[in-house]
Amino acid sequence: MEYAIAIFVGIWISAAGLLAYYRINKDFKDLDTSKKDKEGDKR
Amino acid sequence: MNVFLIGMIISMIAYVIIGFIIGKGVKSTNDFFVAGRRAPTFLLVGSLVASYCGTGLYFGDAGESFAGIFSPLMMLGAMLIVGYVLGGVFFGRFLRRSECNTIPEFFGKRFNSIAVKRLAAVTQLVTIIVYLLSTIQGIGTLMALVTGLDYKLCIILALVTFSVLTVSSGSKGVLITDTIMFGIFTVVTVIVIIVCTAKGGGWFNIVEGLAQTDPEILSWAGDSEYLYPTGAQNMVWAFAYGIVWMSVCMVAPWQASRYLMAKNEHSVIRSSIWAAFFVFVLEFIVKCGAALLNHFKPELADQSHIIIWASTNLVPTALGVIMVTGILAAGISSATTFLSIIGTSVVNDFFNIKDDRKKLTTVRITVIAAAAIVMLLAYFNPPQVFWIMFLGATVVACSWLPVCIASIWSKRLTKTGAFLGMLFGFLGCGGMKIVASVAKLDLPVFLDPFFIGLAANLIGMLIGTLLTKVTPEEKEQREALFVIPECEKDIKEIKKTKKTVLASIALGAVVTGVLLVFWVVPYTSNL
Repeated sequence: MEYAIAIFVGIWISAAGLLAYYRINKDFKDLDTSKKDKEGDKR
Repeated sequence: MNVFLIGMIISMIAYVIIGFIIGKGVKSTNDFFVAGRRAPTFLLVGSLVASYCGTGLYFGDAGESFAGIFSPLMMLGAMLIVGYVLGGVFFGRFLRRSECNTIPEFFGKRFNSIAVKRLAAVTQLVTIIVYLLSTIQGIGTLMALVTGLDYKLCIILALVTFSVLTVSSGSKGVLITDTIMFGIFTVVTVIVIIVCTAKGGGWFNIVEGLAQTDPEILSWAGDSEYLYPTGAQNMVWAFAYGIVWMSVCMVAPWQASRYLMAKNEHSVIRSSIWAAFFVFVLEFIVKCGAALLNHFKPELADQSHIIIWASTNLVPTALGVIMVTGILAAGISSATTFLSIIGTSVVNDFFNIKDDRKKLTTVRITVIAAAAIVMLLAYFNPPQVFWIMFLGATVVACSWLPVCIASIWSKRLTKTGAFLGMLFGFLGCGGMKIVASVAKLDLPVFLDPFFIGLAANLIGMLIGTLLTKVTPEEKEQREALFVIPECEKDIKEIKKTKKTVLASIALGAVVTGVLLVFWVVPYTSNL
């Protein structure tokens, strides 16, 4: 059961990190997309 | 006059001097309220961790780990750090983007509502005064225990120290002194626990020994006579309170308000990840260290004094003095944050002073007045204080958490929904806590006041949102929150921030690894 606790908290933290990374990546990906659109318009 | 008192007095004088020096650079309310909005990542990390760690960790948590519920407390401690990871990304960076001076101001702006602002300010003030009172009690207990001075004199000395520091330098001084204190108490705690365990034959030797002589201390179930009679109940409690304290780390004003001072949103996100790491380090080393001190079988009048006992009996005097001043620093750093928020919020959220110099003077007077009131309450300790203390720090989390998240991510939440949510959450949680204490109710974990308050909050938000519509102003404010400022679009900064957030995924593996290597494997293999 001690093993279960150690593994559970690791998964808990990593899952939160994954959620955070997904959000940040999405926000900045939208930014990259809009920048590329603007550069495309200029050409 | 003993050496511990000398060490404490020297440290308090040093903090006051630092406060005065920094205070010379405080020229405006922007400096006082939000440190000029120029705080780099490391100062934010220092303040986040120092404002979280206080006498509660070194006395309460350490004592309970020593007494036999290390495992549930460790699970709680590891779970709560997620609050920083999620808080920075899903709430904190939007606070920074709003360029508000306080979180209540953010709510007021977001919902175009003075009522929401004022309610947030009131709930914040009540919770912070409660928490400040319990912090002062902790500092007073520490000083009286170690120095032999009268408890009331100790609280006066401590109060004068952190009041002068806060009045003179505001948030700028608080950030810098918090970071210094964080450095001191983190490093010295690690060293002291290493020295103590070395005295017992080494960390692994002690773990293996306790597995054979007192197996329940490090067991998953914990001591069945301490908290709940079964391991399963202890684990349910730990899980529930892991969520409670995760919420505190996400949105509590003494945590989230640090983000308002960040130099940019990248600092917000990165500091939240680093804070998660350092809080775990302290949670583990204090709690596991305290549990391992059972090896020495000390005779203690109060188990919460275990770390003090170790600092005064197991380590060289000089190290013990630094440790005790480090614990004092943990308490003072929390207290300065609370006091600066009180002063800032009263002036920013209740008054409407246009002239900046007058505003700066008013906030300093407010901090002095707040310190005086808190000192009288702590000194005379009237019975009402006892009841107020039951509210605890967690009441702000269930009053604010759903509203904080929904204020960013919900298109439907209206000002009425936010107001009712916050009000019901505060009254539900606070009321339930007082009723449970007065009637001496033994509530099951799922009826803990936090969850009652959280449910009440959600009901309030739902009722308010169903009865009203989002106004064009509210819609505009929410949409503005999702416009990334140009200054945040630096590609190098974005890459660095992404790498830091990626590291938070790895942090889970690191935490598991540490728990397995330093606790689980040596413990279970010697049962």
